[in-house]
Amino acid sequence: MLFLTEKLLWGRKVLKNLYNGYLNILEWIDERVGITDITRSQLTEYKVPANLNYWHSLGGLAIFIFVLQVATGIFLLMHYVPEADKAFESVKKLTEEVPYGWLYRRIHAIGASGMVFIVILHMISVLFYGSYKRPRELNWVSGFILLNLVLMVSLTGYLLPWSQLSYWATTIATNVPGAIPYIGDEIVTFIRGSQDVGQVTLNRFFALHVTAIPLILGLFIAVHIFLLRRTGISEPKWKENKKGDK
Amino acid sequence: MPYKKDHNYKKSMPFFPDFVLKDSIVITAYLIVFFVLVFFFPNFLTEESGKIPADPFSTPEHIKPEWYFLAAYQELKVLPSEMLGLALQIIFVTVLALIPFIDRNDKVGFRDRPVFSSILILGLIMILVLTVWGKYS
Repeated sequence: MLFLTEKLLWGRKVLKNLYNGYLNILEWIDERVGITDITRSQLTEYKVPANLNYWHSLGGLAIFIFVLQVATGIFLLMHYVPEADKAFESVKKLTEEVPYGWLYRRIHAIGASGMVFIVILHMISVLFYGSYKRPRELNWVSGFILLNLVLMVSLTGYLLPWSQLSYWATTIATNVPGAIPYIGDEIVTFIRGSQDVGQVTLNRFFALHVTAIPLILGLFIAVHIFLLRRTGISEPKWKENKKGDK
Repeated sequence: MPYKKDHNYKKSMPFFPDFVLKDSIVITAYLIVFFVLVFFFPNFLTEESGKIPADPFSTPEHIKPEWYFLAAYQELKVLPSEMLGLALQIIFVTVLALIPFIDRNDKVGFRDRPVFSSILILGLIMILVLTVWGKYS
């Protein structure tokens, strides 16, 4: 019995020392980074309206999906070959031979549609709640730019598997500016880099899809969140004693 | 930091844990639906032509853009000239981008601004009809 008590006392001492060590490390970081202040002002003391509902979480969900897309995209990039005669084979190999390659690919492909869907729902809810009104005009404009970037990243990514579907869907989509009088054909060639969709188109779409657009997307997400923090989430005006207004 | 500390809400709650909890419920619900699709219906968005390597010399018979471009695609097909269709699309997108500067009314309630609300509902129905039409035409 005495032996057990001694062991317990010893264990308590170790735990206490570990905890003190942990506190010391935290204090050391806090002195240099100010982590306590940041978590306080950005998390527990950052107040949002009490009557927000689930529609107000769609923006956060969109950012979550963006992170998921970037993470799976990095794994796909490890195996993808951006050359017209090798792209399809590399995607096939990724799906059939690379461990969990099929899973990354499916998450990335279906997640892309999910992201567009959630971003559109987010926009519709903002329209219904009138949250874009003064002083939140720039929140709307930055969100509109984000929607366009999401559509652009989807369009460029759709070509990369280099299947019949992706090739001809991209041909149709890049054909649209051709309807502009006089300069239409020039614009189509400018987008594709050649008369028809081909190796040059694949090169530029690949480069845009994996670098420029995600980077700008990330920057605009930061702008969007900054504006949101600056102006605050708009307080929904529910009727008294309705659901959501507790 | 240039953040305002107080936004003068009638009733407020802390972002963490209250709102983060709400967010995580929505994210969980999304992930459940998402992974059901990923594991059991992985091909519901693609077609057979997605399994054939690209061939610039053979145009497939049925080719359609992704679902979110279907409305625009169908609109271009239905209108008499592509130029008119494209012009309408450019106007639509410009109006959408500038909505906060066009709709300057202070009222935010859905029933307090019947003109905007009815235009919004009609627009959504129109886009939905065009999408379904484009899917099955």
